[in-house]
Amino acid sequence: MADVIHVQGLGKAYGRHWALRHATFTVRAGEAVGLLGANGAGKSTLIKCLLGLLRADEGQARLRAHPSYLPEQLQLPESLTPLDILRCLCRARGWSPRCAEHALHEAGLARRYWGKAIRHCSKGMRQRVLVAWCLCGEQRDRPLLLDEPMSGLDALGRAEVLGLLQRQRHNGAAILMSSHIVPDMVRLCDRVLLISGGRIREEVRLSEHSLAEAEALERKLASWQ
Amino acid sequence: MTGVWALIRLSLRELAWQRAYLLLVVAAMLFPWLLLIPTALFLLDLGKVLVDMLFAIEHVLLSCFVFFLASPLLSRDLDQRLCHLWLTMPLSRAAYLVARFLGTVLALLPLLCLFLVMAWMAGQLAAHLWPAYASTLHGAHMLVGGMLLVLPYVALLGLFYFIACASSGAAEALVFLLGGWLLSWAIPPVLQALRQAEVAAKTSPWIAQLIRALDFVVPDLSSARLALEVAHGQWPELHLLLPYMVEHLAYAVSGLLLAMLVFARRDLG
Repeated sequence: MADVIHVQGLGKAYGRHWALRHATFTVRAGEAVGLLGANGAGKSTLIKCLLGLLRADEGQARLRAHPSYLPEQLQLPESLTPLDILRCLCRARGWSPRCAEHALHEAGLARRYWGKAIRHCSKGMRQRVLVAWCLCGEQRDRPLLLDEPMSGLDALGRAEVLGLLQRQRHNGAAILMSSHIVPDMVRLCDRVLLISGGRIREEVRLSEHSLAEAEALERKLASWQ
Repeated sequence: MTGVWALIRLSLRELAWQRAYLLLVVAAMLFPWLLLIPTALFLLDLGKVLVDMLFAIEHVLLSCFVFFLASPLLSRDLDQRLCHLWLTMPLSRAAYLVARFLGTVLALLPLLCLFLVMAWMAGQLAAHLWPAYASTLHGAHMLVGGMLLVLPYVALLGLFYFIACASSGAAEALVFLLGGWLLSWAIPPVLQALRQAEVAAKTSPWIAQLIRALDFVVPDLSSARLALEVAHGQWPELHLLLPYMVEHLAYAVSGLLLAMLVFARRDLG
């Protein structure tokens, strides 16, 4: 499988402080890789450098196609409806606006909320709209960059979104996801990159996707605090 | 170009569906008719008084649009990270700014047209009711003058884009916008006063220089000369009109270009 995401020695400094340093890894089509670390470890910085939202001070990053990105703490326009927003985003990418309806349905947002203004939607529903955006599109082996995708979702919602992401992965998407929720990460990902102090300390390959693996990762992270 | 059109369309929808915009639409429809009441009280020169008051209300509407709709649109995008979604598409940062700017200006035009059409209708009614006092009321002059009055606000928007791209957040951008807006209104009368020998003699030369320098930085929002000529039923003279249009469009383009330069280098955290 070809590399969809290729990162070589990526680094970002704020003044003298390196928020990210020497990050090197690849993500192939049909693979899910997790970024795990404490707050301020450099997970979001890495994703934003990859997308060009932050200018990297060293190294390079390459994405094989335009990514679908789910930012952390994004506020959607309150006066618009989920369907309006997704249709508009789809048009901007040159996709059929019908993609939006299909994606909202897949993301599990009840049809009665499709036409309601975002201000009437709960936090979980808003998150589903963003997840739906990541499901839009026709290209199968595209990069999906997800920054805390489970934020605001209840247990059932998280399970549903995990299922959707699994399906995307099986269809060939290359997923790079950051999250604090270790069990979710273990269930979805093939590999986890453990980040601390802006550096990738360790790469852990997950084989069992079990609770025991999640606990071992949590212990390892705690030992670095 | 697909992304630019989509973003222009989204900007239009985003603004048009806000309650503040709908409130401005209602105000634009009602105020021209309400202004007939004070006009009727001053039947000395109906045309001039009505046009003066219409232009004053137009300034209020345009200022409200800039402060309550246009400026939060961009600041919110930057603060709440909606721009991150757009910038991960095949859309450059410069194209993103241009699309947002055009969307905002396009959202302003229907509001303005509605106001001017209502004003024209109110003017026609006034001329019909009090024909003896309506000698200086010319509908075409009023419509053209009203459309030209929007140019300084387009310039202000361009400058705001630069401010927003260079500032650290919505509150900071709003403070600088308010500062620019206040200066725009305050400097022309001060410069007028400085032309009097008595005032000039009592003003420190470096303060006078500072005020003149600030006059070059901020656009003149009042459009006082233009409004005066239109209110007196005259067409604005071409040798004044052209520099007026060029000046404000140059402000808008310069502001947008500076915004692009700053935004291209800015980290979006």
